[in-house]
Amino acid sequence: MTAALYVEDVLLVDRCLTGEPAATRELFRRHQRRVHACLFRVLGGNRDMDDLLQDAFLQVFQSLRGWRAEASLATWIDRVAVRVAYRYLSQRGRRVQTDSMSDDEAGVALDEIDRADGPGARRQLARDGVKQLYAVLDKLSPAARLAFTLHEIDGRTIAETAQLVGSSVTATKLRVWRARKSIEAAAAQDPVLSEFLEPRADVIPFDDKEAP
Amino acid sequence: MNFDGLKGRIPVEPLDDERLTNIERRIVSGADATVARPLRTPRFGLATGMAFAAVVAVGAGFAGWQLRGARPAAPVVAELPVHVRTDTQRSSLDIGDAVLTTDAATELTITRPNGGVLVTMKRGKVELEVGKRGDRAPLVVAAGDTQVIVVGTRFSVDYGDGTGVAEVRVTEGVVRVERHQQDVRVTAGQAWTAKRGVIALAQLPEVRRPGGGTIVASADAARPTGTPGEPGATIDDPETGSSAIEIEIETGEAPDILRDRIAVVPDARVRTGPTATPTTGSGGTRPTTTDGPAIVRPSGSTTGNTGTSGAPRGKLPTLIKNHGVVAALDVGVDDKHLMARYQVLVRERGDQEAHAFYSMAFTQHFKLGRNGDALSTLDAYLRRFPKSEYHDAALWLRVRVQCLAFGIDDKCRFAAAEYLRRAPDGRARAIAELITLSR
Repeated sequence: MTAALYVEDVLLVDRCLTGEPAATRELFRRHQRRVHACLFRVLGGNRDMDDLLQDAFLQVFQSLRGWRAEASLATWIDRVAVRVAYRYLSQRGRRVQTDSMSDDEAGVALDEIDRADGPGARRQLARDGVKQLYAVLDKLSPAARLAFTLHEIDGRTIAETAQLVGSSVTATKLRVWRARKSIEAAAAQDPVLSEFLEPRADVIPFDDKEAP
Repeated sequence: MNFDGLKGRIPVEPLDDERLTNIERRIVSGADATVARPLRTPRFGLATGMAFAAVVAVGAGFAGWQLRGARPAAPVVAELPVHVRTDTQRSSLDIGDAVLTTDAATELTITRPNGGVLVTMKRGKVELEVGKRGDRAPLVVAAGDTQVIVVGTRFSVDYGDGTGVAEVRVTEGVVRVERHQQDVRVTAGQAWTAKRGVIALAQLPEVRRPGGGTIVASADAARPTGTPGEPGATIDDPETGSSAIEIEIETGEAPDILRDRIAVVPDARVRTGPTATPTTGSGGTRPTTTDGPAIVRPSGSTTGNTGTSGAPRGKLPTLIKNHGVVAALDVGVDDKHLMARYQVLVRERGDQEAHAFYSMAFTQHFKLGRNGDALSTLDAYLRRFPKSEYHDAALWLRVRVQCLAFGIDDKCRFAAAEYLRRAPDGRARAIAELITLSR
């Protein structure tokens, strides 16, 4: 984070603390995209995302006075969001249903797969792979799921992940390792998941545009 | 199995604009309210709601019945200490500036140190409804080592049995709570306790003490104060007609505890001892001092005028303008890159962090003409560095920016009062006193 951004954050937080609605809006707009992406990768879909985003940011504003600028504002907000996600996962008894694929997309993809074993079909396989992956994650403990998704999918380092989930680095490594083992075990039984995790060179990535 | 390939392979499905707008609207509107209540409020059934409404209606009717015979009460505006002690019942006292409602078993003293109102609590709980005070000094409630400063709001202070620490609940406006040289803002819907700091009002359970009757205390505003010990206010209990509360208006001197408190009331407008000559340094625009940070006198200014008594003379804006300010940190870069350099120093958090932060405000005021930003920066500075070497300098710079850029108004006077309160030995004390006395 640049120094200018740090000072901007400090001043923005001060404005928020004075109850200025414009500052509240600015803070939300500045961080919502990242928080949403983080929550999406943890949960695997946008189900209940409105409530979660709202909860996360309301908690942020409720606790804003407690931000001591020891961590960057973004990291601090992410920690709040991760706590909200943890609570959500715990309350749902780990039975979060993944809906990373909208119905329209699924319909189109299924049409394509019916037609031929072309790029559309492979994309559909990738989507199925994601679905299977999150189905396995649904069976993990919330802590293990958070550690795995933040590290392996959101791309954060183990140290960052540990900071976000409020655990030690060792405990976080262990959780990630356990999650990997569970996924590997599931992949051994599930060719779709296995294919998704170890794609062949010619497999089109999930988010690629139309193949040539 | 290689999991590294997962990064970036799972795209984020964006939320549509309508959902985002709705979320944003709810968050912005709820950002203030959320501090006043827990995020997940319990859901009550219809029957519970109706029962609650019925209780409120009965309560309102009872209160109306209680007040039916109360005669209009003239405010108590005595200049000298008013002692209020309630033993078994609540009381309500209109002092003109504010209405004080005390719980049972409450003891407090009200004084008026030159324009301000000082409520010194010994024990119990008091609720205050304070009208806008305009250019008058704020009302201060002192409860042990905690001070609550208010310029117009509704709040309560609970000091228990007088041996613990006060609890503050704010229902309207904003108050500032001071304790152990640290202050926090408590806004509507928030409460403050020494242990927990600022919390949502709903998180602090209300403690009700025995006694529910309302007693209106009244006194003739024009009535001259009597001899020491003579009751100066008539007390009526609308229920029994007996005098259950004793309110005394004394002509004697304030007790020691109050004298001490008067000295720290920020805007009591009391001149304490001979005023100091404003320090501007001498000779040149960047004089140095042997103790403390370097002072600069803005270009074009003259040495501050002082009378024979040592008090500064002249027009206030001129006096403010001529008074020295602590110089910005010299980082050896041109004006264009100053702010960026200061920001780096602030971020690095080294020895120069506080000075660099102060220097940002200095630069915004003197070089960039961004006075609003300068005030924001100074506010942030004072919150972040309450005890730094540049604390007094920042307070004075705040006075200067507020008074010169926005005029000698209430905010300017309040900034000066803040300076006097938080930097009682500051170099600009004499000018700050003059500002608080200005009309």
